[in-house]
Amino acid sequence: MKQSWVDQLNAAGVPKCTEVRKGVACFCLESQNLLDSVRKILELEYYLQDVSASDFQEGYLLTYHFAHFEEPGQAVFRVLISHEHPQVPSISSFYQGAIWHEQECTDFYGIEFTGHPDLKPLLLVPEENLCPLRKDARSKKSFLDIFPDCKLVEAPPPPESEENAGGQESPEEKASKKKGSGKSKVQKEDDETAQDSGQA
Amino acid sequence: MLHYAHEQLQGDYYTRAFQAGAQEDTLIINMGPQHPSTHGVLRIILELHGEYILRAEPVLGYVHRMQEKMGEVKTYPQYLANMGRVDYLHALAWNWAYVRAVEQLLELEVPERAEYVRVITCELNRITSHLLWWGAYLLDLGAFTPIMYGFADRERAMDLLQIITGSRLTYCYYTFGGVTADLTPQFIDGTKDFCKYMRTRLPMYKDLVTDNMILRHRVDDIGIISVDMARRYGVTGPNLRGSGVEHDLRRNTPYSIYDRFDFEIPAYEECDALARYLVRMDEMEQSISIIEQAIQSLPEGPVMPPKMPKVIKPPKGEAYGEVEGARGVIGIHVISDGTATPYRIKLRAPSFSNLSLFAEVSKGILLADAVSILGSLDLVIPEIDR
Amino acid sequence: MTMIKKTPKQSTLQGIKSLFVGLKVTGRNFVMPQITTHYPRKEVSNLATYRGHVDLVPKEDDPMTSKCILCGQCAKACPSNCIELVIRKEEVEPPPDEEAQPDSGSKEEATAKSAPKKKKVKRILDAFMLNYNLCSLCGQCVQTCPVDSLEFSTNSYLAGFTREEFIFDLLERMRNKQKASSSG
Repeated sequence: MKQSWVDQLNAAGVPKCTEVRKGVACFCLESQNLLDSVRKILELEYYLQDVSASDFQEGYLLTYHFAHFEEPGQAVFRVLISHEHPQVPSISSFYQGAIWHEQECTDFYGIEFTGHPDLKPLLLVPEENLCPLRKDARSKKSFLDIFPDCKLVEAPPPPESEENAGGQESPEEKASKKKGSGKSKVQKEDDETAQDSGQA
Repeated sequence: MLHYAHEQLQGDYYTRAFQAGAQEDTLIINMGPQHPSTHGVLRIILELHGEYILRAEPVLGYVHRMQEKMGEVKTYPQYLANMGRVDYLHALAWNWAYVRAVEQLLELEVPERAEYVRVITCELNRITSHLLWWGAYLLDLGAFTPIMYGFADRERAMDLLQIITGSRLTYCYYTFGGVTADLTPQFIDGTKDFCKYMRTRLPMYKDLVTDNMILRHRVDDIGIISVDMARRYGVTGPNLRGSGVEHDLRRNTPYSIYDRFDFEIPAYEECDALARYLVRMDEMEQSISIIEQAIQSLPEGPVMPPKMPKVIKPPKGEAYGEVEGARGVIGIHVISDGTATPYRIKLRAPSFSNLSLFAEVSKGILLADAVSILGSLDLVIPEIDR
Repeated sequence: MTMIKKTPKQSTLQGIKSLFVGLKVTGRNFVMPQITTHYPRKEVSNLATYRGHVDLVPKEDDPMTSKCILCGQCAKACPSNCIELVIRKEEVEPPPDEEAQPDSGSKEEATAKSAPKKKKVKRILDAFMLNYNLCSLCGQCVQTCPVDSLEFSTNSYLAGFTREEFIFDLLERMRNKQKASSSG
């Protein structure tokens, strides 16, 4: 049988993923690993669907959606960055389509994408720095509350910037990893479902 | 005599930023925001060397409405009305993407008949969208008559959609769990007639325009989008299929009941504007075939699930509703925090990604060809700006 | 099943022939009957299915009152807040007139608090204001109405010079319509 797309993603050396929903594989990354993973997923010939940010208590959550032209399934990269240092490396050197998506995130949240060719306002007026999608403290919700399959880990002491942390794998995923098996139970079961994925 | 302040003569923010990188002895012009070939308020700053484009930069945001912020202040059903306004040409696909995302969150089962109704209406809407594109693209290229034929036929399809949705353009027809109104016999008979009628019209379009020598010269070998470029920019839809990739969500990850129909995914390998043109012309034919099959096997039954929650309060979590629209993959990412309003809504507009490659694809081409490329990308500006 | 096709290429001769084929199509259409409608003299035939602004539905037994039970669901469901219910409270004598207001105030919290125990408070719809300037014709009000007291009008010829002309009192509209239909 052909390798399932989740296995392919894992075999390519992108940090381990969890299949959060049918047909959706989620990678919780730290911002220093992002470029490496994006390079690998480009080698796997995934295309960029979108880049979006959202505001949580723990920080800004950047979500990158990738999908494949031939294979089913969607790969999601999640990167959590702190409110104090909203910086993340730009993926526009790999995916030029991300240039506009990242500019849009900067418009809406004021996130800085390091290495972006031209981070000027895209959709909003250039004269003002509005950041309209930032939430006030009262309406902010906890990231962990909404995504219970993720957990925060203490970031290794970063060289210069102190990004908070990326979410990590679900408990059962972690357990299977400890046993030393490359593929987790969860993913194996999903091999069949991945073929006709997308329909929930 | 008018007097301008010095800053006004310098142009606005984007012009100044663009001028900073200009070479000597080049001409910088604004194409748009009120240019007939941009079909809306899209502005492109061009640096020209003679008739050749050295550099192009689209400037967006003229019809930006902050749809994503609206999503965070409205309740789930209230936001339905916004969906028809994102892409007014294929409004039902956006309706569908949003209700799919929320249905995934709610884990709602859609009745079988409602799925058929959705397929029929969405495909009919796709035909109207392609017909308008067809007319408008040829209008850009200097052929005035085709838009008259295109509109006359589109009018028929819109009359049909009006019978059940009540509107002609900004539909708000799908709802969580089903559709708001059932098909009427008048609609079904009218659609059958329309399909027959369109089958006679498409060969006429071919004779009138597709085979036309003048059109061929305007579109052949213009605007090459390689598969690699499409991947890097996230190009989807007919633009991608014009680059020789048979990617269509209706086939790749068959949502709803698309796996029950027998249809082709038209794809051409030339990667140019002609290929994209032919993909859309073939797609109309396939849509007609899907509609005919769906009407043939339309089951009886309700169009709404028997038990609907009174207040739509999806559980915590996220969902990504994907639909193949007339312009590409429409994606709506909804994050729910368990309340009646979404926590975050991200709209993935296909035109946004499709236009983003314009800066790269337009390097070194003639200005007149830029119009042809823009038209062949089938842009809808409100969808780009959202 | 599907194949990636090649775009058909054309020789110059075929190209020149295509011009004549196109001309033939144009010629055929030239002698076809006109398909457009000359508006003020003729009307298009599809107006009956047009979904315009909402209208109140009268009761079957009493055409001068609407089916509305004053629950306010439509006003809450509206995305652009264009519906406003003007409600008058009237105290009625202990044997209350049940048929006029069957559901009077059972849902509304405001009246539940203020209602005096001995006298029943009857809530009467004075006006049902629709600000059509803001309406986006989404139909949420019609869908949420529990008693189907709202319907779409097919009024497509709306025009006016001021915004105030588009703030309708639907109750008055309904009564005028009923009067007109009963007298005429």
